[in-house]
Amino acid sequence: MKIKTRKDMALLLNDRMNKTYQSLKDRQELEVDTSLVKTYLLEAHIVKSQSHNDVKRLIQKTFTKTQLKTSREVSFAEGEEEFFFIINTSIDKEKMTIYIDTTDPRFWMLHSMDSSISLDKLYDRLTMDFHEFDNAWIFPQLLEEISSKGSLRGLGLDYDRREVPDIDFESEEAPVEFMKMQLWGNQAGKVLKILRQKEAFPHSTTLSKVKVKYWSNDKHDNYAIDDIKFNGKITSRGTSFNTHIVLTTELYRTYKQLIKSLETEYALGFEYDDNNKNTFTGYPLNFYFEQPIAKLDKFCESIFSCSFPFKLWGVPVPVNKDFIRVAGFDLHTGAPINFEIKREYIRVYLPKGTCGNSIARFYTNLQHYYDSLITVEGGDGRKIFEF
Amino acid sequence: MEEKYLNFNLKVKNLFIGLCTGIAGLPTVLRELAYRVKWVEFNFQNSKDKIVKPELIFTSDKLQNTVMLESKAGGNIEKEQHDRYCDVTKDDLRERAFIEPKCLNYVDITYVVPEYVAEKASSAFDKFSVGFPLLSISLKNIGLRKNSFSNAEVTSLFKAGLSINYEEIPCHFIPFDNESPVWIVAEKIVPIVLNFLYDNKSFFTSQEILEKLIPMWSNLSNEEKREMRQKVSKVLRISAEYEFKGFIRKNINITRRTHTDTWDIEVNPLKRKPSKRVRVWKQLQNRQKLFIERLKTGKRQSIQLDFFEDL
Repeated sequence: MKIKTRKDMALLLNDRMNKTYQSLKDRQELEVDTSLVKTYLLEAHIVKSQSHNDVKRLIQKTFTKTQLKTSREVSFAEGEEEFFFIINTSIDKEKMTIYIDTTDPRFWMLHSMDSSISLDKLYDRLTMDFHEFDNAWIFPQLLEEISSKGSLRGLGLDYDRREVPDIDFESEEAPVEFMKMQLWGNQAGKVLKILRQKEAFPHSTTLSKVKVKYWSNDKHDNYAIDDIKFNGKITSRGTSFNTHIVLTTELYRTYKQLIKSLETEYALGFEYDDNNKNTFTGYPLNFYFEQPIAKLDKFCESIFSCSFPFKLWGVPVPVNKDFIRVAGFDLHTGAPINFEIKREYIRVYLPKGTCGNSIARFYTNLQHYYDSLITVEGGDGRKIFEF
Repeated sequence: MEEKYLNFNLKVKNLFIGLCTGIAGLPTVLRELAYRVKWVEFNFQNSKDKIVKPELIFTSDKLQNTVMLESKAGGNIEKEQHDRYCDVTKDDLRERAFIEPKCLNYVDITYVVPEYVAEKASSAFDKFSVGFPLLSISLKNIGLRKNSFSNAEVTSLFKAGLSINYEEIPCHFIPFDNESPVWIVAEKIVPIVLNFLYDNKSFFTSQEILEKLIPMWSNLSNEEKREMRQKVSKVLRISAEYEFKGFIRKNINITRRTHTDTWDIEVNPLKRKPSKRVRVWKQLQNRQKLFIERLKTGKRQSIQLDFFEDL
């Protein structure tokens, strides 16, 4: 079947997903990776207009043998409908077909049933090497929120303080250095609650993945079991691609809404009103730490290291021993972003016209690499990442 | 001026924007009273066709109140300026400063001075019979020194005083002005140059930097704009001679066409392989650190001068 439209793609993926799952279930075998649908959420920064041709140009510029360091030529095809593209290539000799749905020209979905290892490599290259792309940063509260739409079947925790080593890990009072855990089964949620209790590890229990079983329209034979990761990768098994898409788009819509609200309600600057006069709009974003930052200079050194995961450039300028300001720059979105850092809080100034994704990345990574209990409040008093 | 109150007018603007926008570390009471910053450095004509240009105008529809804030770093209250403010009518604010009518039931003109000149300002208030509220700012507090606001709640909260830490007043809303020291200007402009790299620009002007950085750029007078342009050009010129040599260079030929100082970007790390970019970003970060340090202390650190040229 030649895939020309997103409908063709959905039928194909649905068919393959359903057949494989059913046959494996009948034979009581575990599914192989290449029988699972993978969807990657990718945020594209297109500076000019967001027409089909702009998207096409960006894909053609990016998806080349040289750019992606692939082992064979990349074949690129446009679907019959706008904003739909198909890429055939291989990474490490693994062939792959990727369907790119860019009907929202900023928030893309990449679907494929090929090997996770190769697809992950490609996704990492796109998000690490190209400033035009970034992951959708699915912060823990959003993972929990989406899991409440179905039935939680498992979860993963991922916390690594070594990325921001502002403490002496050898000291007796040293907090948890890193914590990675996978919990499968219906009781996973209970374990999470226990780990988050005050006397357990609330500062280092950061949700990185959820496994959710989801049914749509009460048709219980149509379901998807999705593994949703904090970096925007979703792996789906089950009987229905359409059900997987319902859950995925539900998640993506919430994420997009948040990013857009950061840009429209919180980004700071002057806006032209009806009289062509500019008035001041927006609010700063206040990041609060329940446990104060241990060492400000070390903290800043890690955060503004110009590299993964924070991808921030900036020279910390101490105002006094407890207060540092940074005229920063987001190396990913290519936009200035400013900070004032105290041990108890960070003030973040997102300038108007820049991307809210910077805030989602900063928050998600602080939770994964510094403290799970960081909270963010807009200057208007609204809790930003809470539901 | 006392050293610790350097750049007072800029601090006042950032402080009140912070108070109205609920920034961490400052009292949120003004934001809770629904005060929003309407204008920064906006000038308009009063009923006698004289210009007034308060540092800030903020309004609250909840309290139906508009506040024009005039900052006086030296505490000099001028009769002539006071008279100009007295001649601002509600119609002027509605029609010429575009303030919503519902915020015009009560209008306050407020002077803000550093605490160490508050006595001097207070005497001038007596001398010219100024009835406006006078706020004074110390290193720890903003308090009402004289007279009262039209709203009793606002009067009582400033009478009690709002706790602040003067050193930790937010500094990024309005990043600098024409009185700011050059090292503060340097701190803020380099991220904008990096932004140009992402726009794939091969050259930029000092004015473009200011348009991106100074939110109320269009409200500034020509004289202020000229001073700011000169300041930015000075910082870029100094940086291009040493720390950022080989990264940016003044382009005299284009300057003749653009009529403002224009700079070529000689190296764009984005055009390098991704694996090599981090090295360049880190180098730029280190150079920026040394550059700020040099402007602050006058001491020049030795660097690999041809780093960017060798890329």
